[in-house]
Amino acid sequence: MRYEYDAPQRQWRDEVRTFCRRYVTEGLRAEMRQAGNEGDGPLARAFHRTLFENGWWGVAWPKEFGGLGKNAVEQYIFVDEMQAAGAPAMNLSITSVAPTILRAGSEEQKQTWLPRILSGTIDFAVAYSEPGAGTDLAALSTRAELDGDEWVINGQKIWNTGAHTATHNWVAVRTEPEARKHQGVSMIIVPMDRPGITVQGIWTMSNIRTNLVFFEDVRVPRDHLVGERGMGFYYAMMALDFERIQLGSVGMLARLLEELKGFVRRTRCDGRRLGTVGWIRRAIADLEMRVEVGRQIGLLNAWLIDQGIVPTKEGSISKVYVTELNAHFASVGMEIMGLAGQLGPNDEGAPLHGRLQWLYTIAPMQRFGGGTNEIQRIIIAQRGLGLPRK
Amino acid sequence: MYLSPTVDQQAIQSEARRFLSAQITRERRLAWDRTPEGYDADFWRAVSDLGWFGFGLPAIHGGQAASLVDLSLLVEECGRAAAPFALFAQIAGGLAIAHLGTPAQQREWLPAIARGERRVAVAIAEQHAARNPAAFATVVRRRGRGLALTGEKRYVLQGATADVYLVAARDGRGTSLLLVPASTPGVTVRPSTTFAKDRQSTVRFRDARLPATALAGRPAGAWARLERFRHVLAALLCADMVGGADAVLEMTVRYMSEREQFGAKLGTFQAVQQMCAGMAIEFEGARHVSRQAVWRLSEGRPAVREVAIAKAWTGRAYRDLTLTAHQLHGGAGYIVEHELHRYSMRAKQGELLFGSTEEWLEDLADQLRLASGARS
Repeated sequence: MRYEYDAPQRQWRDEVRTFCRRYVTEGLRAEMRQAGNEGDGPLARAFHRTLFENGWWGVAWPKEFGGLGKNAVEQYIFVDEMQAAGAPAMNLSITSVAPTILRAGSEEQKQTWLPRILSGTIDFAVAYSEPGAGTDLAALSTRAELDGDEWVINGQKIWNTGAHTATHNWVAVRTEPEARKHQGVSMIIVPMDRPGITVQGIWTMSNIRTNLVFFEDVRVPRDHLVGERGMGFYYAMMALDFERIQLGSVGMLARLLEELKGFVRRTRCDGRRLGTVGWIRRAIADLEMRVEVGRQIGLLNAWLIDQGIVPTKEGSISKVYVTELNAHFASVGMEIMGLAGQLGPNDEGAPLHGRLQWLYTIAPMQRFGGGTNEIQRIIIAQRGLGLPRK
Repeated sequence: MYLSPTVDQQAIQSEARRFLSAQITRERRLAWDRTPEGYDADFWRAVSDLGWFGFGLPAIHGGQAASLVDLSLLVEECGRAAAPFALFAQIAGGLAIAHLGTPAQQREWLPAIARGERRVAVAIAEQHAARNPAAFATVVRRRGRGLALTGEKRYVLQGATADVYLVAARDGRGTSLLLVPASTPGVTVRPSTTFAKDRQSTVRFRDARLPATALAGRPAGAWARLERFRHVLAALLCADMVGGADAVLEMTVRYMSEREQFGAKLGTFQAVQQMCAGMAIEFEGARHVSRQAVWRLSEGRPAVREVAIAKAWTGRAYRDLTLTAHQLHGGAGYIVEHELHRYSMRAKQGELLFGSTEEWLEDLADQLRLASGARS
């Protein structure tokens, strides 16, 4: 038993930390606050380019494809430090699409797509959900039919975030209408410049834009179907597992907690320093405890992956715990700030640059997105604890 | 980083588990409930023969010098089995003398404690004092070449069966620690009735005369040493609670997989699955923050923050798990023949011992220096 990073892990952490200190500037953080943390602005793009030039774009990728081949704990360290520094998140091409192509794609598909993703010349939006298929993803009805050497796609996708800027879309489609619903889905890469695609913006309460996307007789080459026909549902689930490492990080909360401590140390209300008020002290200690628990759970998830274990239960535990902690943290933190807690990022009086009210608005989405927390709990109960199924 | 017990450590766990589940039968437990000690002589001897009471004690005093991590895995199994709390008290008492006693006291007491022939109890809390040394009413004074101790200690684990007490008393300048044999004239014991089926007592010292050698170490800094030792106790108790919580989760899942209502196993209902998953989430956090705290203490690293987090989280989690387990077990888990009540009462008791949940959060807040002014 050893609850501490080994020397090489510490060295990697310090390396990432040094990098962040140099490249995650206050200007970049300000741009991200404006963009709702989507990392879409010019400075965020420049930062991603720097990451790429540093060879850190594909931290988790095998070395043969130009990645660093880092294991799961090292990925966790990377994400944790990036989040703690307030760096833009890695996009879905890197965290979700590329790993799936790596595991499921043919040699040819790997050679075609991976170098272009790695070089940043293409990037992906992810199109899973439909108006009639959310948590029950396997109910999706967008279909693709083979016509000669091309797939013809018809249907609509929702919550297709980034579809208005991405060069490509990673689309779950039904290719086997006769098969049982989980076995009839495939993943197809759709270049966004194909005729027949209409993108309609949807604005969410956190100011993040997402999209409704229509496909009308959109044609793509046959080899754009990645991996095996009919395996798409399982690929999508696998991709969500990769995301869990990223979602399981409490780096951002750790940073916000330090800022919140600074706020209560220097702020006075009603003639008292907030850091001397009993309930505020206790509330901060409680957050300190909860963030540490989240750190342990996230690390455990990553560590188990490196032990060759598929941490289905721990991955779901981490997803549920951290997303619910985000909501709780934002709520308690705003209460500690009092009336100032409601000020938005553009208000110069906003403590912590309005980050907590922002977190409060994105937290609901984290809880129902990426497999709702109720579904995660069922996974924990059935696959983790072995409770009987119907 | 290695977030699980090694193969050797797993062997400690599985041997302890096998031993305890063979020893602790339902009938035996119900019989123990009616004894003043909370166990029987055969059981005590069997545990002593395994060397558990000396497991964490220095080898020169007849112990096995196990690390705190290894010892905690043994304690975890005691918690899993809801073994008589006397085992915890004896292990903790031995450690107390090893941490706080003089070399002569260690030579005198530890070998017999390790063999289970002598029993030791730690006596700190009073009716109106728990954590503030200035609030203690128990005092020790010089009487000629010796000492005289007067006061009343409460909530003394296994106080009625102890051969010796480790006592904290005010000495006029600060805090002194003393080793007081139970046979000392002026020492009287009155058992308390606690709800968790453990054995606690009020121990009274009325002008108890002691030689100067009864002092456990120099008075200077005794309180700080005692505080550090309380961290060890709290971390070990976390291990006990982790084991107990694991057992509660396991028995609940088992029952939910067997019990049928409305023509289906209860475990197939989503409401039940959501509750069980919630238990698993709280438990997983408890296991790892607790092990982290023990590991840091074991390695001699600063650990106040980690112990505070472990005790506060694990205490809450264990209590929550047992309450959810009661809801899921219904009447079946409410009767004394079912083991669940032993866990649920121990869980709530665990929240109170060695610093309560809220007190530890207060300690954690102190660590965070929130009142220190405009530094960010």
